[in-house]
Amino acid sequence: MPASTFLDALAPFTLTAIRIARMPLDQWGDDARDEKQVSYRSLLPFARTLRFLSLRNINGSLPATFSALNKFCSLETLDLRGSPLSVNQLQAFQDFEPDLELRLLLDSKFDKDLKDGGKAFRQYCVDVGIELRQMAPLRSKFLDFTIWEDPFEL
Amino acid sequence: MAAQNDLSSEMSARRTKRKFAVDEAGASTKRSRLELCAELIQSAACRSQDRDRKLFTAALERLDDRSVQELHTGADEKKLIVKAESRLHKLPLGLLDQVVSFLDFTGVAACSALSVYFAEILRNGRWFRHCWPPAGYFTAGALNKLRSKRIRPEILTCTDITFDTDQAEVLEYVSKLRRVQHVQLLGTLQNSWEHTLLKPLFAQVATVTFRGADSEFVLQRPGQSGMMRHLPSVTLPHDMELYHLPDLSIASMPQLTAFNFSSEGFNWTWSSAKKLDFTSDNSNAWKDAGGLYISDDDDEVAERRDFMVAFQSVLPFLRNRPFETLALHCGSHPGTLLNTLSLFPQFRHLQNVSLVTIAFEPRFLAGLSNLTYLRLQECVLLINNPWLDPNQPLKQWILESQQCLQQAFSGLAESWRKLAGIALYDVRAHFELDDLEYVLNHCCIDYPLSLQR
Repeated sequence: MPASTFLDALAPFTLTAIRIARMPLDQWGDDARDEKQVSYRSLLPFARTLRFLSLRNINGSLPATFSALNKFCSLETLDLRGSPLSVNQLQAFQDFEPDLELRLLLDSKFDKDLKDGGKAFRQYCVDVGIELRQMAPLRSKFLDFTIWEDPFEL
Repeated sequence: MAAQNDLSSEMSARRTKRKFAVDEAGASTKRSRLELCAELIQSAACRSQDRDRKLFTAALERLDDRSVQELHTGADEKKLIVKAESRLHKLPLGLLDQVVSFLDFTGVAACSALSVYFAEILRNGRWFRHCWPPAGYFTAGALNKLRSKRIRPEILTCTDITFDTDQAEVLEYVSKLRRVQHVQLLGTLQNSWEHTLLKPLFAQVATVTFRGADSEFVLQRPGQSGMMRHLPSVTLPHDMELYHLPDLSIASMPQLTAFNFSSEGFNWTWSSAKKLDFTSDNSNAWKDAGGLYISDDDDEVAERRDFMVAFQSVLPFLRNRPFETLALHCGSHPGTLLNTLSLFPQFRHLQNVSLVTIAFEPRFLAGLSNLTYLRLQECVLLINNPWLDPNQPLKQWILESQQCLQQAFSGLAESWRKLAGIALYDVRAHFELDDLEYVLNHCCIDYPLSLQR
């Protein structure tokens, strides 16, 4: 079940913090793996108030582009650890220019597929005022999801 | 003041130096026995009363590096002898008594081996009040020793105690202790006489840990902890009567900051409120936030027990204790909510709710008007929609499911006006009443008749 199903229902709220893990962002089934189909649509109702956004170990893909994040004028922390980011996505990420100083959390090996080893990405972070924090893959107890099997499987 | 600061810094440096020296020698147990000087320094640093501070400062000035070194060298060589002309012997008895109050029994025993002078003091029972019984574990045997030294409970300085409730003489003795802050209770209380007797004791404590439903308990000693076994006085937590635990009300325990109930698999903790750090990655963030934290980790026990019944059975024990945070964390066996939380008066003011591995209908979270942070991990939302046709095309089925879920949440939006943060970790939804019944059956829950079809 995608997180957007819940977020759409929560649209009337003025949320300041959202944490999502081990769920698709806004598409069901195979569609969730197609980054072109996935979007930040369900997060936009909270764009003015959201200060903390964590999308950890997302099932499927994050959206292909990140320009929608420019609408998040209060965002202070963006945690994408554990969520796969392709080279194209990392390049597209640079369309995002946060209004405030942003703390961006990525896996320590986010740059392994980049030709310049992430040098340009790091420079981009410096230029737009992003504090980049590379951290080891999570081993949080929160992410030890081993419980549900059938009959809950839809 | 400056001189005192210099002295404190110097002593701190000495302490660090000695610690590393001994650690490198791998003689940590010896160090713990002979922390006399270190504790002396520590006491000087933390005492606030001017007279005590002057006294300690004066004593510290008399202890030079050489005497400290001699003590530890002697300890390492197992031939420690404090000579009659030792500076330690010249400390006033009152000061020495306060120094010893920082030592556990092994430390005091080590001191008695230092010299005839110290041994004589111990033999007279003067230092027993600081260190007996070992690890604060009060038994009938421990009481015999205290009685043989004619030591009244009122003068004992122990702050952490452990005792069982099966012997009246132990209860009578511990009820007169005056400095207790932390209690580990190994058995249930049985009658009003015991409640009345222990009332003064519990009125002064900051934390209580109940181990009467657990076959193990822990005795803490400096540098080590020992796991002990005993026969639990109750087996299932929800079989307990209200009088089995001390009265946790604010009036009876005004100093209480935490109560922990520990059994095999099912645990609950109430602790005074702290601020929840919703953005923290610390897995204990919710536990550290205070409030009521209930966890159920034992498969075998869970299968024999209704989680909801066990969960509800906790509430009466809390009396009028307020809490703003509720965390219900099940382990590998899922629990189920069967009632609306806001129907319980104690939950009406909840600000933070964390549910892990719980199956529930969304409407059970309605009415929490102060809800600020909600965390759902591996939860299943049970949606009552018998009209949903599982045989229709997938896309249509998904659309209807989404609408159904959104309707369920939209209803909640009316009451969650303060919601500021939500965490969704692998949350699922399950539709149709037939399946709901299936879920409940497989969770071994005695669900109410109103849900049956």
